Amino acid sequence: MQPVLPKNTEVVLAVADSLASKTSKIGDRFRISLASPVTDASGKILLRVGIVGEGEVIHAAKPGFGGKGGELILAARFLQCGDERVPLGRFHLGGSGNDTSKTTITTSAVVGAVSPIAAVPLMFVTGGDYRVPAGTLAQARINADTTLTEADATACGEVQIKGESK
Amino acid sequence: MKILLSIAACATALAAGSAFAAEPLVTKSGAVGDAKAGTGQVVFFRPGSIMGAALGCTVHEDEKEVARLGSGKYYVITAAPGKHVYFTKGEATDKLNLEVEDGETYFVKCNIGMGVVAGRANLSPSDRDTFAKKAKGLKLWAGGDDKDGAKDAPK
Repeated sequence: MQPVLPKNTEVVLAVADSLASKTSKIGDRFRISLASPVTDASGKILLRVGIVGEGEVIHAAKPGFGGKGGELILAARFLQCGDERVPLGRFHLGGSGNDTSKTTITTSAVVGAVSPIAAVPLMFVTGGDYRVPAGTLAQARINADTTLTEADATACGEVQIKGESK
Repeated sequence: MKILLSIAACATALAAGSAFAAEPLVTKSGAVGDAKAGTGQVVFFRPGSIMGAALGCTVHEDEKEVARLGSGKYYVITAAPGKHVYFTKGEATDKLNLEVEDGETYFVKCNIGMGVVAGRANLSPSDRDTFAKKAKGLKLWAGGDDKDGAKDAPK
């Protein structure tokens, strides 16, 4: 019987590439890998730690003028299991960098009250970059029931050594 | 166990599906429920602040106005699964791209940043925890001509 990875199975993924809002673009792909094994009800490993896949940058914005922080939203797309792509969803790692707009506005108001011209350069102060370091972990789920062929199961499941599972 | 602790420490989950549901989100106007089956939902919120309090944060998708947030307001919209682009208009346009999934709730914060002539309404990705911390001070935008909705920044 061919092993099935059920829809909504939770997986723990590691982002393999370092990402930053300053350098990322919408649509960029990045590498992910499985950080915790996926097992069936009997405890047999169906997906082992380290199998790789891809994620995608959904949203990216560089830090902006006036203290606006950089932004990044990431999604996990799939894990590659032999010839089979295991579809992923509900990952959505991301956030925004340090927003310094309040400080910038307050400082501008104070400086501008003394000398409006002196406050102009403050408009060009940017917020913080948002970074996702390589190795960052996040949860996702398998998006659809996925049946693995024997070859795929061998490629992604328990490592067979001398007829024993390890 | 180490992995679970690392997730808690490192990852910022933007969306919260029902399986991850924690404490209910209670605001001044009531509770924010889960997304209906077959759809997702987006919670736009603007924490109360003196900064730009007189200016509004009007959120659009395509040509449609989906929320108009004064200081200390929030609004929840139902969104079909798929890609969505939300934006604010004014002195500058600020866009936020979201990929909505079935049963998920997304949180988007609006704040008023510095502009050349007036403040700029900025949308940024947020998360459940951030919203939860501000929730008790937030009131639901009543829609239409809610008098608490401030005026848009000049274009």
